Amino acid sequence: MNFDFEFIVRLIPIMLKYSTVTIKLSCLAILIGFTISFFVAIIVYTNIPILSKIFKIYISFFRGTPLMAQLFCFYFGIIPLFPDFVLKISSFQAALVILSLASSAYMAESLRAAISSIHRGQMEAAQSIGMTYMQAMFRIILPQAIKVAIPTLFSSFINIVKDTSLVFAIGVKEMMATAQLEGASGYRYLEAYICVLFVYWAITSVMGYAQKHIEVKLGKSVGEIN
Amino acid sequence: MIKLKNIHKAFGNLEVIKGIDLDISNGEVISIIGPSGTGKSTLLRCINCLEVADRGGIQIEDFAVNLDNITKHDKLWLRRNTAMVFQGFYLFNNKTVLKNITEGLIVVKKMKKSEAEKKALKILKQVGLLEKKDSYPSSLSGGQKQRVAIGRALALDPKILLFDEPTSALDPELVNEVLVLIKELAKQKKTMLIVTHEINFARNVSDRVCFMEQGMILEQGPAKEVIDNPKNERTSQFLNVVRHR
Repeated sequence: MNFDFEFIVRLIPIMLKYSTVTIKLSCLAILIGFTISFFVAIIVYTNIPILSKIFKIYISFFRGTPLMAQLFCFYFGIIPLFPDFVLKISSFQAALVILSLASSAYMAESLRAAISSIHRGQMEAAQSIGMTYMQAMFRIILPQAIKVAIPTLFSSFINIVKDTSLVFAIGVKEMMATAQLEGASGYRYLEAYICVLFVYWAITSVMGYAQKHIEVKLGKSVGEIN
Repeated sequence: MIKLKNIHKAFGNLEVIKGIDLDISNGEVISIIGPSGTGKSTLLRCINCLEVADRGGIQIEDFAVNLDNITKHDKLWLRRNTAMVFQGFYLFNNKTVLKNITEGLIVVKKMKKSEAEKKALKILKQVGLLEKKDSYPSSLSGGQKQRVAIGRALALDPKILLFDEPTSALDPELVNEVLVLIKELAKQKKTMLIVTHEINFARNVSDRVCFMEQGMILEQGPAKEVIDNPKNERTSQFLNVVRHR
């Protein structure tokens, strides 16, 4: 079997077209997931009575079950329970919900760990000058914690991009689905999958570059921690 | 005028403070000395509400707080009218020296940014660190950090400054710059409560010295009297040990 470079070249524009779906889904999931994780992390760290228990279970559930099973359960199991919703919710939206929830569990854990790593004295000093707990949290603790959490947060971001490749299973037409389709149409699976792998790699490489850039920038503006 | 009335604090079964009464006049400097683990720091932390005392009362001028059932508002009030200087400095690592000082003014005292900066610069000049205003804490020496921390406390015009072993974490050659600054503040008649192991410093700088052991004040009086001629046997034992280090 001969390797068809031309096929790959022809595939690239199609991949790039569907990469917009991947990128859109990833960006939205990162944004929503990160926002949720923020509140989950603070609630768990602060040990707010009932809520922190609930969110500990939330974290445990989403980290402890496979994403594919979550997607199937939600899309094929839960949504059909609500007939009014079935037509209104697209597979893209369903994928976004599950990706956001699942990734927020991982990110909440990294944030919680990062908050715990900040010396207790920082909170005490902030409170001793009269700041409320939340003021101290948002102005003093979190800016330092985020710097600590950046490497693990970016791992989560990159995982989100990679995990979007699973959502074709519930019918979202994104890059992975396109690769499979195009590969099948010409019996050129190797070329199609190599092509899609390189596009994923390109996207995550850009993110890796962004991470380094942010780390340097935060290093300057946040100062050394401890 | 600050009055501490019958303050009690326990951690679980361990009683750390067993009924402390102390009246502090405006402009008075009081040092608390005594062995480690006798509740000196805890007492300061109770005044600053970083620990909540179990029983007792604190009165600062006309505002009296009943510690038996303290409210959130009381806590904030006490924290906003007292200021703490920690053994470990605890400057805000994510803020420059200048912002460490303006932070409380802007966020807590709701001062305008320009006004806060003006005040912060004045204070930095006073603690001798004007040229470090744009540095981050990580680039300062221990002594410089503690001077900024004192500035941060000072900026809020607290009714009382609480010092929790301000020089214990410093290299020996850096202790002096901090002590000189505190002495300067004493001259300016700032009301201060200082927990310290620097006996000579306590003798020179304070109006009154309290010897504390096992959660109680065993002896107090004019600084030179207590340190030169302690009446309590435990005080004199302690002073002997500290002097012959």
